Amino acid sequence: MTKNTTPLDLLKFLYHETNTVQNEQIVGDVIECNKLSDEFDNYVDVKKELDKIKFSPRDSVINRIIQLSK
Amino acid sequence: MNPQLISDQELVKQYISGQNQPLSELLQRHKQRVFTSIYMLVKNRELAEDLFQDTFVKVIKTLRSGRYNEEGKFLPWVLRIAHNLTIDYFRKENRAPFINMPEEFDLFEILKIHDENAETRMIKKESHDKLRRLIDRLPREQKEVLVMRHYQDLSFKEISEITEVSINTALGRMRYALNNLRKLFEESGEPVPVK
Repeated sequence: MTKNTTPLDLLKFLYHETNTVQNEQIVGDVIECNKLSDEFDNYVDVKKELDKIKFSPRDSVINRIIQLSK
Repeated sequence: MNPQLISDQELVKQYISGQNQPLSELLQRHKQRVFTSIYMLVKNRELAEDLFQDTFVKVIKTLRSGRYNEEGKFLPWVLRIAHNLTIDYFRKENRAPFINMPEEFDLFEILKIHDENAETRMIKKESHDKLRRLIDRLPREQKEVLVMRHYQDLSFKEISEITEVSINTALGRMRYALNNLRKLFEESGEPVPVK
């Protein structure tokens, strides 16, 4: 990596743990560096898959909580 | 106004002011995220549901008591309550999450798939089954940080404190986890679902 941004910085950026100044730096580096860009794309691809995993409690549990909330 | 267009913060204010419906909307809005974060750790539906209920009972009590001061950060706050209650459970049981996890544990046994089309449902089920198997093949440390960061919404700093490693180590494990999942996708002979 010839840029200031490291792969670990990309992870923090991916999970919104960077500030505005860091975001600008990272976005600029990703645009200019194919290696960083490829790595970031890989993270995004896998994250999208992880996002698809969803579980739900049964409706009876939700209804019980709603009753308790009144 | 359509409740789905109202912010969490506003719904919280409405509930605190005495309305009941906003709590129901908050529950519907965040139930999957909160329940998934618990279930990924405890791996048991009944226990996850108990902890999910305990989480929202604590949420309700805190809101009613006027001690809520996390304006604008409702979901992260709820996820932290869920995480703390889950860890408390493991402490009481004198065991730790992720340790002694069955090799073939089925993360997706209660996967909710909402597509109406049967073929789409089958394809999604197969895709999720594959992803489950791939996650199970990750080393424990990588799986741990992946679940904590992605499903429990803990920051890398919080993960580093909980797992007693440096932030860079936590980040490095996450990097390995994502890269390994990507490689496992490729080795499985099917293209990585992308973009």
